Amino acid sequence: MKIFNGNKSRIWIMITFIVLGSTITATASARETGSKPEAIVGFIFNPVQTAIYSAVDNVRDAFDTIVNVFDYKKENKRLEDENKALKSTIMEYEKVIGKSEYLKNEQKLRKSSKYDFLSAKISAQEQSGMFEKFTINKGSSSGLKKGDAVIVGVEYEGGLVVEGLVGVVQQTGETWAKVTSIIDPSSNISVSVIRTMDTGIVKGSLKPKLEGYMLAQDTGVKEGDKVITSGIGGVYKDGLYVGTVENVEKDSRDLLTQIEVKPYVNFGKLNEVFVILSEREQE
Amino acid sequence: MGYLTVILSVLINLFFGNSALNMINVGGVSPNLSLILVIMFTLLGGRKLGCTLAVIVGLLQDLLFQDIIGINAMAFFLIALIIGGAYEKFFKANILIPLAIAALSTMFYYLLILILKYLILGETVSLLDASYNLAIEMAYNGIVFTLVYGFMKKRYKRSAARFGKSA
Repeated sequence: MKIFNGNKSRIWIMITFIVLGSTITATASARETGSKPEAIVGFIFNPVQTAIYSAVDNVRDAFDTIVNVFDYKKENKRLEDENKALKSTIMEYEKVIGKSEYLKNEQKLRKSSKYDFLSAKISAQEQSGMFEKFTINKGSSSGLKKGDAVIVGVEYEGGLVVEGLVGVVQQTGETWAKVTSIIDPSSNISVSVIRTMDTGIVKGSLKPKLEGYMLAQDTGVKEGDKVITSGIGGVYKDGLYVGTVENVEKDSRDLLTQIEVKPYVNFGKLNEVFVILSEREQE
Repeated sequence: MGYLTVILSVLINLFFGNSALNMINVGGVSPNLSLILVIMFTLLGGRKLGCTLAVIVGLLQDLLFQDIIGINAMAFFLIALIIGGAYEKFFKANILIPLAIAALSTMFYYLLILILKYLILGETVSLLDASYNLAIEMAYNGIVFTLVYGFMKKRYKRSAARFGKSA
């Protein structure tokens, strides 16, 4: 303890400050790939974290299934009473809901998407509520690079499964990648409203919501409008589904239309994601 | 002085804090086990251990998740430095103080990250939005800290006695 009570202690504290300050400054600029220490830490811990994350997720899924079993039974009973002839249909329905939503959506998305993508498992998530970042178990050796969009299949109107935007790859190691989710405060997304094609900017807000504003003054955006990426700025490909407008507010001088968007993606239940690698060639 | 306990705690934090704890989130916010460990070992083992652990735990989080390396390490280091000094001088007698420290440290951590992000990236976050997460995390960290600290305090004393050193 003596080392922390005197001049020697102050010197150590100063050295730590200088080293950490220098590291922050040196890494503050945009970097494509991780440094050596990041590569080593990622290489060692990522596989273990992936395994633990998946195991924990399985436990949660099992728990969810147990809870949902009672709902399914009740639903079956009601349907049987209503129309016995529909029994076979109900059984089919049970099979479908018994499957993981992810697998269901993956299959549909692979058919309908214009993109080629790679599936990846989330290996770990940042702990603090100040950040919305996570790591995945695929990296540069699988073809990932900084700026690749990360998506999941989300159900849209009429059972259609579309690309729901999760985030963007911020850095890659050989077998891992760091991803910044769209609800992280550092994310800025250029969006279009599907109905009017008005464009705007939304950003993460530490809440499971995105906040932003429309670029045009006389926009016709309203609550319930669907929002996709516009592709402007080149960070995200165009046409990825971001969310639904939940709140529209004009500022006091009527100059700016502020919007709140609820993402399609349920960030509380992410386990596997897709990384868009390229656009599929049109057949 | 139970170094094994410290190392095991760091590993548990690394493997379970970043996975299992995220799955029992409340309103999208999970307890910050890294911060809890830093506070706990600063209170149990003193400022030197706390500061060292702060840098190690913070750097591991940064290397795994952050683009800017050192941001968590700097915040944790400052927290360990401040609470280590203050606790040794004033608070050791009162058992309720560590709880208050856990909540206040969470607030201080948020504030430091906001300042660092603003200074480095020019990135601003609405204080209202941050306060929502902060309120949940303060309560959550406080509860988890109470449980972990209560458990570790006894173990730590026992292992400290076994190795013939004072806690």
